[in-house]
Amino acid sequence: MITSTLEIVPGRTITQHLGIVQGSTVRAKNIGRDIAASLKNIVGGELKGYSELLGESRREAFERMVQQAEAKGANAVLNVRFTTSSVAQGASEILAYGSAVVVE
Amino acid sequence: MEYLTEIWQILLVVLLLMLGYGFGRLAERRHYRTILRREEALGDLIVVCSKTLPEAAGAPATRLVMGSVVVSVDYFKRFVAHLRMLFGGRVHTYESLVDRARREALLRMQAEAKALGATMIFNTRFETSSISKGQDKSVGSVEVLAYGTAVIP
Amino acid sequence: MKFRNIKVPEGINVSRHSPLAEFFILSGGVVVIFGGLAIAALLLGAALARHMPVSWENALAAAVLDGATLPMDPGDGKATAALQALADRLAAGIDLPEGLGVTVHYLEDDQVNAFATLGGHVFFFRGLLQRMPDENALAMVMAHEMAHVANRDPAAALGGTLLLQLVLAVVLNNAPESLEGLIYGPNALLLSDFSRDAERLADRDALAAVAALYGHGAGAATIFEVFLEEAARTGTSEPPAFLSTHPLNKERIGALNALARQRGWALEGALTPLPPALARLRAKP
Repeated sequence: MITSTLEIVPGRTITQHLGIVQGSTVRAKNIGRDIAASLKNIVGGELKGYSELLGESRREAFERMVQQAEAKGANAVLNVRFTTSSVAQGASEILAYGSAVVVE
Repeated sequence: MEYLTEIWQILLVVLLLMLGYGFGRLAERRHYRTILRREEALGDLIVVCSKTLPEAAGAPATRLVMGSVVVSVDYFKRFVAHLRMLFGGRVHTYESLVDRARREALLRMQAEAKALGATMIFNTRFETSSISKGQDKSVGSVEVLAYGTAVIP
Repeated sequence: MKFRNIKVPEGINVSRHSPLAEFFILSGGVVVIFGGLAIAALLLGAALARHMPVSWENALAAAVLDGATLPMDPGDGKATAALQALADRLAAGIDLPEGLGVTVHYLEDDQVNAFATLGGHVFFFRGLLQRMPDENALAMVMAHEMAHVANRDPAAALGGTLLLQLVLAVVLNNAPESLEGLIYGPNALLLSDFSRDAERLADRDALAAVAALYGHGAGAATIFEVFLEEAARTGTSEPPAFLSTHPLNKERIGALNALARQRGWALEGALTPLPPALARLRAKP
């Protein structure tokens, strides 16, 4: 599976457009991480727990998008974008989306 | 004994302000030093926002790469920002927060691309979100994601 | 096409400035502006309340006390009557506003305290009455509370805090929670300073009334000795002067002695014993 933020795959032609595919996940922060983060909030700096949490969630959203593309029979997802929004206080939704295509 | 808790609360805020100022300053300087060092080291990796590859590039392999980081601001800077929110105007103390986060995310993305043997990253995008939005009317910490397409010749 | 990464100079997105300077300027601004606003609200509210018609104050007090059942003193009302008689004798030396009379009440509690509230209602705790050595000390407490009534301090305190709370509510509604301390702290100091000024004035007026009644000021300062003894007995220390709603007891004794010397009132003289109804209260365990 080729994934890219470009609109083309260099040197190859797109034969079919299979529509939009997306993967998303909603994650909440947990208390343990919150306590560590609130301590870190006093002195500032990177909140490693949250960095990891969001990294994990983003990977999951990305993999779900790829699953959708595979189900459609695509072999590439182009023009991939990410967005993050907070659904409720302390919970965020991470979305990955792009166009599923077949290239040869 | 009610006055004792009042005095204690004032002392606690002063202590947190001093801790935040001292450690926050230290951490920020250290972070900027590593940012500058790594920017120097990754300087040969081209990062652009254009969507189309030059003709000369031919048909290289491409891979989606990303880097992200959550950075929080210290108690002192948050306190000053809250004061600033009463009067309005430029919130100086949050400028370095978003600057550090964005450059760190970019560097992590570049490091991932470098590990794949890429020479260029195309169509780079940033995504910024606040983690503690809605809590105590503050920003506090931000997450920055940088992502793009690594071109591997 | 040529691709090159050119290094961007520092300091474009991040402005060079001192966060410490910003902190001091901004917090100074908050204290000056909101402190000024709070002082204005407190003084205005107090001044307005001090000038409200006596009939309004009486109506307010009646509304508050309506339906409240107050305890009977152990002497079946005789102690309260004795207190009321003392108040009536002192009234000649206190400049009470037209239509505002003093009504004395007894409260069944160990607290060594007395207080005046709206409409000239003065409350005495049993704890205080039991520790009065003579009538002169009791007269000082009574005259002090009556001076509060005459100066309309209960109304002023109500009006002042009411307007202050209103201003604070509006300000704090728009301020982040972490700043509440910065705004509340100075206000606590302000309120206690406001209260201390009223206490000093009441002490002066009270000594004048006591001196007018007995012809000397002997025994008046004893009341503060009683407070000091009580604090020593229960092991509580006085809060620092700037946080307290009353001046320190030692300071109050000194101020009374200075005032007596200045006005030429004798500090020595025959002490009047307590009326029998109150003396009996003292004898009870």
